Amino acid sequence: MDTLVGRKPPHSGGNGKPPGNSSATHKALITRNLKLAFSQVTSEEVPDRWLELLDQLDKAEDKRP
Amino acid sequence: MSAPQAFKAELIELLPSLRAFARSLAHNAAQADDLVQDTLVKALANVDRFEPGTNLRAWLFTILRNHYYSQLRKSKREVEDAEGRHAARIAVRPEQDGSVDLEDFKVAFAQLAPDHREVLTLVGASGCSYEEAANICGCAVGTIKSRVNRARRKLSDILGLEDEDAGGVVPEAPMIQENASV
Repeated sequence: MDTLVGRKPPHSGGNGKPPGNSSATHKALITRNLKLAFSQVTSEEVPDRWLELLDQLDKAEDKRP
Repeated sequence: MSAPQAFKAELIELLPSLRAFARSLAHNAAQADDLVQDTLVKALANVDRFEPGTNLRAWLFTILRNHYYSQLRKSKREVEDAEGRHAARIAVRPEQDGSVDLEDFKVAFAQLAPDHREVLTLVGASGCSYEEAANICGCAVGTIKSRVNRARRKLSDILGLEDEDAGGVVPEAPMIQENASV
């Protein structure tokens, strides 16, 4: 049975648009830009000094009996 | 492939996202790269503590995050935007058609508090689950969810994205009790 218990009334915010439309749009917009900004950084070349640091792992392994 | 080789390979794969996470916390690229470098040094020094098969990304992100906040506490000062330089650089308010210039977005993002920047990056960009983000940030999943919501709202405010639904206050519908006597 379709009950009205706890249900919020439908409203359009006075602009004729479905409720929650703008916040969903903003959320999508923020997520899209976050991913864009993130992918910009991840596409940058990794500095050699980091890879050289990680070479220590190989050296440590080589030293093991 | 030996365990250390597998560890190294996975670590190299994670470097770009580790760097992006660092960039979201630190305000400039050089500071972020130093943060990654320090994280790598710490990770290598504690490699024996890492349990193979567990979440290396969460482990590294946690080290980086702890190091960042530790540095922040030591310096006792956050990179501030007291003069409103960042805000002033948002030359044009974004239109309401859903387009925001990426550079404007970055400037707005930089104005958020560190805890807001980190949750948005973890959950919104790096693909972490709420559970993983909670693990990294050392708090409850519910805290992460509410923090993400607050961060989004704050970012919307800075970007000048008006909530069209907020035009009028619509009161919560009163609970209708079933079987209530009329």
